[in-house]
Amino acid sequence: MQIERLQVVLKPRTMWESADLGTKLAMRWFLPLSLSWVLLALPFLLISFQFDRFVIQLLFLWWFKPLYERAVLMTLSILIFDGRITLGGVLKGFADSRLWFYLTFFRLSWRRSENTPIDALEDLDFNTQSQRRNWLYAGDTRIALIVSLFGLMIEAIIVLAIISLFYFLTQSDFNSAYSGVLKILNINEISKEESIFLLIAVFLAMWVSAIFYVSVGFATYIDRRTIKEGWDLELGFKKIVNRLGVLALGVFLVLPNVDLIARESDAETDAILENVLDAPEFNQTKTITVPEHLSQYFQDMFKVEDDGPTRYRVGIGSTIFAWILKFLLIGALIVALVFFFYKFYATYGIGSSLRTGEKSEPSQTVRIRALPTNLVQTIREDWSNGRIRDALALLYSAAVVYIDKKFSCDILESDTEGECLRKTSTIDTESRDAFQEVTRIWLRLAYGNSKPSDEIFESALLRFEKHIVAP
Amino acid sequence: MSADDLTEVNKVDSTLMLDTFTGVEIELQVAGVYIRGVARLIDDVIRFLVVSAMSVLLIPTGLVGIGLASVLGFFIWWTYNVLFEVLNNGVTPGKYYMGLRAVNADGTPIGWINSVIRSTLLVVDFLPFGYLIGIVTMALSRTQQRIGDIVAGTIVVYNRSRNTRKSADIRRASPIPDGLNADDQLLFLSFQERLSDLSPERAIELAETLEPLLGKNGQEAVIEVNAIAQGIRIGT
Repeated sequence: MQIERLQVVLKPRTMWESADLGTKLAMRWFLPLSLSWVLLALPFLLISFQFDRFVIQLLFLWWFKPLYERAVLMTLSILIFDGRITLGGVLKGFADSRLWFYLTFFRLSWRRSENTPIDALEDLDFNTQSQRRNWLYAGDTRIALIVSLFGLMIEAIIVLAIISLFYFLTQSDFNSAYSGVLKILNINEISKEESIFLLIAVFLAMWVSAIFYVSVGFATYIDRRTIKEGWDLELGFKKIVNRLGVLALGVFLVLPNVDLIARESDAETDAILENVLDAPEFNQTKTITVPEHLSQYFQDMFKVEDDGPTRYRVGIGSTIFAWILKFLLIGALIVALVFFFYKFYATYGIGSSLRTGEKSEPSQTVRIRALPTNLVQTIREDWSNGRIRDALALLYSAAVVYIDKKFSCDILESDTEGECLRKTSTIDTESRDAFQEVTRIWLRLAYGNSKPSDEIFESALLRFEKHIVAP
Repeated sequence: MSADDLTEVNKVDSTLMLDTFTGVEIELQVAGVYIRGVARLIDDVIRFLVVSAMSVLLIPTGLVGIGLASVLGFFIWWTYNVLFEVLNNGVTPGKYYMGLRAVNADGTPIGWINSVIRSTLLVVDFLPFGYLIGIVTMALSRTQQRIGDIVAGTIVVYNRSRNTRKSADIRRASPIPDGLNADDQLLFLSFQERLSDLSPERAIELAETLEPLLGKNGQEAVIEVNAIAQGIRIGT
């Protein structure tokens, strides 16, 4: 194996870091890996359409997953060694007889992600391979289990997301969309068209899941070999030899003497160094003026990140973007809070100074130009004909007009319900209680959309008649 | 930049290098979707259990209990992440168990505003089901950030320091050879620390890679590399 050509940074990683590396690999080569998976899986999808029952279709498509994953694994193994993808190179992975075990006896094995790289890339007999697997992973199969469970979860989420999006975008109302989602998920009563749609959703979910599943398994394999076989050490030692070369041969071979001489002359060296650093060449200063923030901003914005193996820096461009979003969010939160408090005081705040005199919409309906002559009868007719809002609006506004006229409360056109209550606080108890009851049921309907019962309405109307309308 | 360095640029890794204001470069291992998924699951289970237990205790006491359970439940559900992250240096119980920490993108401790933003936007990351948007955003992001992280300017990093194991019995220390830079010296130390992971044969193979420099073969090469590592460790 030519580890020099590996396109990942070799270093000892924990299993979780290996999973992160796998995610990175999947994203780095998502297109070629996807292509290899789709090319192999698509015929199986088309064949599955020929079956009558959805369960059989699904089982058929799902059962051959190890086959499609092998194509991804072989493509990734070529790409990761900086190779050129050829059909022969990919097909080589299918010559492995152990692949058929994964399609039969080991089909339900959740360790497939970490086992298949050994099977596909190391030509070992069955027993040796088993020992090799135990040695390499040292019985730690947690990541294989997590990756399998995560893969299943992702598949379920994607399928649900596709179905929901489809129905919520195509149906006119929530109930129809919700019913559609529930109906398609009831696979026993699924129609032919729905089964095709659901199968395509499953296919897409399996595709995305497989890329990450295989990549994480492969990354774990690479990292375990790095730890167990010191791949990073081998590369590092070779680099030292190449860099120091023949020159170093002499240096290394006479190490003890060289070091001793150096140690004995430490004081002398320090003195020389001090002299050198005191020299004028090291004590020149020059003052230059640079618009610091601006230049830094542009330097960071257009910085070419070429100083490390995918060791990227947090660019100021993305920081600014994040700041803009952050301020927008904070601004939206503040506006929402202000609006909330405004509405709260406008509705319930008695004598609130936040009011500007403008009526909110439900209150505006109260202001009617003239009261009907047969007032109580009109209110009752509205109520019995289902015009609840009209009935209560009329009842409330009539109450305001009568109270104002009867007790000279000086109620203005712009007064809120709360202000009306405050202005009527000094009138006689029975009239005040009647007015409060009318106001309460009106407010509950207007702002809380809560309809009073017939008994409450009738009671309020009677009290209105008796204590407010009557002279 | 050497040819080797240029080749290294394109290699895949999840390390984040940060330049601090003091000019010191720090290295952070950004945590990915799998480990963060498990940490989130733990946190969600804890939150759910706490809110459920509280509801079971308070709701039977009547209307006041129901009201109290609702208010406290809401409070715990929405402030759990923020309080832990800000008051516990970026570490919620789930993150603690998995060895993670939420920090600002420049590596500094997370503050109230950023924590509130990232916690509030968990709702967006959850959509449409099971944190799908968050997972997709993290996969697409170089620094594995979900939407809440991007807006708040935060990242989640591994909290654990690497385990450094004691080396086997070292009887001899050799002086540090000239020409070895800091990275080279770390390699010698790494060899010494990881000897127990390597088979004896593989250890010899690796040590013999340095044969042109050390002039040693077989077990002697292993002893010599070990001795140099020991020399680096004790600063000969």
